[in-house]
Amino acid sequence: MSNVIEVKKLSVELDGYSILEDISFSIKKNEVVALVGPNGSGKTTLIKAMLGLLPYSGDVKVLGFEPAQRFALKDKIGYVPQKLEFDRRIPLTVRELYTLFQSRKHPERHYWEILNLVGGGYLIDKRLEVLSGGEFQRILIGLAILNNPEILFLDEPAAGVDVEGENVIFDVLKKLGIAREMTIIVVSHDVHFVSRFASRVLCLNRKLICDGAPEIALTPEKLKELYEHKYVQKKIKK
Amino acid sequence: MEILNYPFLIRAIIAGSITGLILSILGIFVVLRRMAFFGDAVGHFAFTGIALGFLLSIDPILSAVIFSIILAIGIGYIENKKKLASDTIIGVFFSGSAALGILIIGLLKGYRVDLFQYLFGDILSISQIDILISVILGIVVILLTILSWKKFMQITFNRDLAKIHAVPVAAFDYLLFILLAVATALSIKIIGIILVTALLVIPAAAAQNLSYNFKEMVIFSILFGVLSITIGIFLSYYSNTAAGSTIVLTAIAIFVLSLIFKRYA
Repeated sequence: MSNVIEVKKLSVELDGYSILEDISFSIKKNEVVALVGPNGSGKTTLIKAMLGLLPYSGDVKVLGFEPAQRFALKDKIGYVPQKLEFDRRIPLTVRELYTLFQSRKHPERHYWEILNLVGGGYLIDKRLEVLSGGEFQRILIGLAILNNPEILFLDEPAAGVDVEGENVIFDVLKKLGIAREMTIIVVSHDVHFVSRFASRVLCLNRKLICDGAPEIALTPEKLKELYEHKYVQKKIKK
Repeated sequence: MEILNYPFLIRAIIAGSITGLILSILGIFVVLRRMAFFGDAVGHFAFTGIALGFLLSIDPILSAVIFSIILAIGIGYIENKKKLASDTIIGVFFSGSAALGILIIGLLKGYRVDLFQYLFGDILSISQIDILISVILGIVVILLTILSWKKFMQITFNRDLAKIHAVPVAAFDYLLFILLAVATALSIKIIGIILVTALLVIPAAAAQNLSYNFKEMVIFSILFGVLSITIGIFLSYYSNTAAGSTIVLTAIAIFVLSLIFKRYA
């Protein structure tokens, strides 16, 4: 199977701090990859670098393109940010939001199909302001897959959602991976979720600590190494 | 109606309606993106631009537009390059520009009554040419806004998601700054530099109070912007008060009503 993402010797420095160092890996089509690691280990930075939202050094190719080639990647990638910076008071309904981001190549009412897929059909004319945390996350996942992307990036999609909402989100992601043959890259703190859902895990703590199937990569020794603070503490100003 | 016998008032209502339309449309993005301070700063850039126009003997409105655009782009550039907070950068430009404007006024010879017309607005000074300029620039601003509407909204929702959807965010930020600078300069003769921010912010804020969805916000904002100016001009004629301040107080009254309606609706 071909690689949809190739990362070679990726390093990220922000404000003189080394956040990621010499990361290399590749991801094949249809893989469900979980990025795990402690707070501040660089998971969000890695996702943002792959999306071209942060400057980096090294080589990153997404579907054969550099992340900065936005027009080429436009409808091929979807993204659910960890914390969406968004003023909830904006009077925007779910329908208006989806119309705003829907590609012209889809029929006008294509968003119905997506909303039903994420179990949010009943939310169509609701204002974003009134949605619960779980509902809002499902709407964001729907927004990310609106244009049928080949790769879906999710940064802690279940953060701040109750257990029931979490299960709904994971069911949706599972459906997407199986039915839509989507490559999924998801940041998660939840080791239980990772072992249940992901086909592969990348452990990150400034450097790549482990890479493989969850049952093989997530050994007690690796987890200890991953969650020790020695790497985080090395984040000293250069 | 007696008021319609005065050509200067008809000119004021026509130019005012166009201005109200433009400011209330752009005001939606000013309010939703929390750029009210920026709108205020652009008004003060225009003040310095007008003073420069007097000093260099060029058309004050033209110099106001050019100077405002340069400073607005300057803010955008520094915001993209430096780690300073947006309101800090605006604060520096704002006060720097006001200081420069006052300095230039000090350099002008004699007492300049015409300069104060720009500060507080003067509907008596609106000429046929002003209306023509308002119509032409108004059409350009509205067309550019309509064409950029989707991109502006995508950026307003979330900048990272807009980037992933291939929106050149920085370019559209600059475009919005330029449109704001032009719209501000256009409204100077009617409401004056000091009060221009009011019409960028109040109609859209009142509309936000009453709207369930975005479509309603656009309709209400335009309605409130145009109504504030036309009612304000009528009221100022009958009560013999300054047009600029009457227009802004009318807008404030609409805003208060929107708050009351929101509270009890």
